[in-house]
Amino acid sequence: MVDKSNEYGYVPSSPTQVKNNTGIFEVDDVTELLSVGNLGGSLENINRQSITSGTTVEFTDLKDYNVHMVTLNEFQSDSASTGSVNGRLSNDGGTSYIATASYHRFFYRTKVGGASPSAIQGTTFTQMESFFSLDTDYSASSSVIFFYNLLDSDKYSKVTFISQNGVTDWVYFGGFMLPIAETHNAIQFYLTAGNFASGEARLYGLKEL
Amino acid sequence: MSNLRFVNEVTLSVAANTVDLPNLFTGDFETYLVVGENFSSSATGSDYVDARLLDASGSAITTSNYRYGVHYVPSSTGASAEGGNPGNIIGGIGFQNAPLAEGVSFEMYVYSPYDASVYTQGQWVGSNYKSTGTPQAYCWQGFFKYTVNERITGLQLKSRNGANNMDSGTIRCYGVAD
Repeated sequence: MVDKSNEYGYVPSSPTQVKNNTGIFEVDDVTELLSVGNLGGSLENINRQSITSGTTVEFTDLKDYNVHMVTLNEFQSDSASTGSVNGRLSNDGGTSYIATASYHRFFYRTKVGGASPSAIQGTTFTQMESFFSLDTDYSASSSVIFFYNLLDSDKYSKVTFISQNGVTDWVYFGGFMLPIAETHNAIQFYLTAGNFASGEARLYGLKEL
Repeated sequence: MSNLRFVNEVTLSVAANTVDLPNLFTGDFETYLVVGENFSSSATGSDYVDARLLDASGSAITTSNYRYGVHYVPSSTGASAEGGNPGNIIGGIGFQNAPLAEGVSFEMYVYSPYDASVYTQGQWVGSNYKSTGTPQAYCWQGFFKYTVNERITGLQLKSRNGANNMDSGTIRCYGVAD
């Protein structure tokens, strides 16, 4: 294939673009650019859900990425009782979710004003507990979560996250791990008290070659 | 097209005490997301995984001009912190405990690395699993500042005490478009 690295169109400000171009991508151009990761977005929005009811949010199609990102934006519940938003993984596409005492949690949290900093830990949880809490007395909660190795049957599934917990205003940062080397092909978040009233949940895949 | 743009991917295939990850940063973006996956060793041993920055020529910067702080929390008990003020590393990206496939994974944001008129700064959250002793997972949250106005083009991962060569792992770099 002829080297066209200096011919591709639509990069008018590229410092390495030394030739004029037609602004047209041929099929071979597209194939070559895809192979080096230079065509298409790098953060694919796999699924988006607007949550207005129920107690669960599930992602059952993870496509084929090694690293996934989930954002839970502005979640609220309909209950005055405080509930946790926890998570579980599935090895059967979401038919069931793993609830054995296998999840590790390891995160740090600090309250508004820097009060009550503490490490939250454990090695025998039956769920990823918790990403944040919800009730009707406080403002919404949000989280950005990275999942590693979910679809890799040879590796443990690892989770890192940063959350803003609206219930009495905490920041959480840390992780969870399910030290079971198998394919985990669905993610569930669930609320332990009341129902979800609102929130936007998005699942992304991070582009790789 | 999303505003997160894939820049480069490097996969480690040979055992090394230090792993250079060049050509991650260019003048095209101000903010980068660096995602590391499963940096580990197939040999027996354990060690901290630290980092350094690569200068414009691709060489690791070893001078004591890094400021960093990191807090790490295991899933068992206790928590610890360390830092350098100054130091010659960015310490505590994670901890590798071999032989284990679940090495160090992390997401790191790096700010203005290619701009030679400002300091390069960053922050990361990482995790790993330690199988010896009490099996437990760790998370790492840290930040760094390189206090020299200098162009930065990449990242180096290194075994702190040279006790363990890393021989697997993949790193991907994404630019956050304006």
